[in-house]
Amino acid sequence: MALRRVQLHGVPKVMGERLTCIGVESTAHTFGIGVVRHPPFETLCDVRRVYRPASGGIHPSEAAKHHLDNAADALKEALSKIRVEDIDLVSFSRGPGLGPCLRVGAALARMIALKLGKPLVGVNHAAAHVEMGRALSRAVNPVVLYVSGGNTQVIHPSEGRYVVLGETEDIAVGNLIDAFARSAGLGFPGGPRVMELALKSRRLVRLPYSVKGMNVSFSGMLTMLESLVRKEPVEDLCFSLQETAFSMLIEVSERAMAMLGLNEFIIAGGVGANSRLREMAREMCSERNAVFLDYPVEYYADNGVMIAWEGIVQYRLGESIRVEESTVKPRWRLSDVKSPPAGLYSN
Amino acid sequence: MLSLLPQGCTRIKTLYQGAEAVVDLCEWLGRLVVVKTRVAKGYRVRELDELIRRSRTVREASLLNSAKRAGVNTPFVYHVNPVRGWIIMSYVGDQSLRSMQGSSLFASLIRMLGETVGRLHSAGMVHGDLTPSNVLVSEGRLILIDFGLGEFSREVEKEAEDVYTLFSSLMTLPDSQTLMRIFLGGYRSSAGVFAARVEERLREIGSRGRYVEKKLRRSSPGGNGRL
Repeated sequence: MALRRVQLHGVPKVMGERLTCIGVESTAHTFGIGVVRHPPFETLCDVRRVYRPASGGIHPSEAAKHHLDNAADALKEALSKIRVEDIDLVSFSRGPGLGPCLRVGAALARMIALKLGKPLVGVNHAAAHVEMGRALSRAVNPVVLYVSGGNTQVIHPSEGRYVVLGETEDIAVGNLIDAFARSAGLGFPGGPRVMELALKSRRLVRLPYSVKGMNVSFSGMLTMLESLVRKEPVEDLCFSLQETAFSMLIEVSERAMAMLGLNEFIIAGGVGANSRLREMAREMCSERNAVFLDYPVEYYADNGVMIAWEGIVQYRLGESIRVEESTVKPRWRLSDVKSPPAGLYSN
Repeated sequence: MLSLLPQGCTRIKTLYQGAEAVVDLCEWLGRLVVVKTRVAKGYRVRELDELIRRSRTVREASLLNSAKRAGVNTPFVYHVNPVRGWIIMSYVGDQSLRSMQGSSLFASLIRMLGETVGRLHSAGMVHGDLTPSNVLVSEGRLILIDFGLGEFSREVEKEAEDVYTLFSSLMTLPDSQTLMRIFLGGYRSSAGVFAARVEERLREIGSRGRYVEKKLRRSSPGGNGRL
């Protein structure tokens, strides 16, 4: 009942007026708090606390406990870098992601919104990745390859919505890398180790190359890799995994660009931090007179800044939610999210 | 970028430049032919690139031939060079089914496509990239092209995926639901007893991942009520 008395929906600020948003990210392993001001786009703070499992992959409730243990401290650090009075709105990752983790970020965001009496915006994690990529790369009309531990999609942000042109039919590419790394004893997250070891080999082990139209499938490759662990040198497997899986991803991205006649390409999501994937993207684009628009590598991984930025984007589109209705959506599809007009980035 | 052509081929014009291949209309030994060239991709390591181009070229050529034997119209294959990635085939016009969208004939062509795909599947082949752009219309007949992602397979999963790919590309049309029904009508008439299994799998594919939220909402009326 006490909640009802708090005025959450102030008069929305008009389009173009300066907004400062604090965003909370907690979909999986990263607990992040970011603050963004716009226009012009400015990152005021970027606090991250990353959960590293002692063994195995992400255990949802342990990750949630990590986030809970770190929330207060992370918030304190964030608030030490900005003036609380400057905050105009509060956003959080509402999904898709691990339910227990999402709830921690959501709870913190609700608390901040209630305390400050500011509007609350629940944002889609995938959309936040895409919009962060668009903002930092200054791409006008790109095809986006969104690749992370839980997601693999080829996306075109078109008028008002996100069109998912292709995606994985089973596991995400980051999941492939992590699961292989685990079975090869390389630890979690697998990406950095696999990338490092791949540099030591040039020998290609044949793996299933599974492209179906604009969709890909990785589960067959994982099965084969797991059966080859300890039979083939791990460097060769890392090299072959990267070359095969990334070729598939770049191939479907190129097909999407050819189909839509677009010449801008960006990558979003944690696997984008892999320099071989970005190198292949650059090569593919230069061969077809397109441009691969890169941006600082630290923003490929999950972070609070992108959530804050997406909070501003969605708020300007008229989105905000009441605390009572701010339940998390662990399986929220990107195709159900509004996409902003390209003009937002001309700052 | 112009691709390298086989000896004796004179390019008339480039019909299509896709992500994977260049399709040129050419004159070759006094006849009009289509040359499909799978171009090398610099982003792939050479070994993988050659492997992919070679296997796709060979597979496509043999699928074109086998499909024809199964009573599915395809271009005639005149010459194949797997190393260079060339297929020389007969020219069958360039009017695609996509360009017929909105025409009064479209629905009947979709039914005909259903029959055609049913025949293809019954003969143990899947197309792999079934979209209205990969179906040509010539003299009232449908001609399937671009078997680059096709396979010899009798797996229900792959057959259902074929239909699923087509349906995804029909999704943007206003009367997509009707068109899907019409397609399945044609499909049933030629795929026979297998059609039901494919249709069942088709529904299952639709419920994987992408529509799970809808399903969850249906199964638990209160939804995920936890904050």
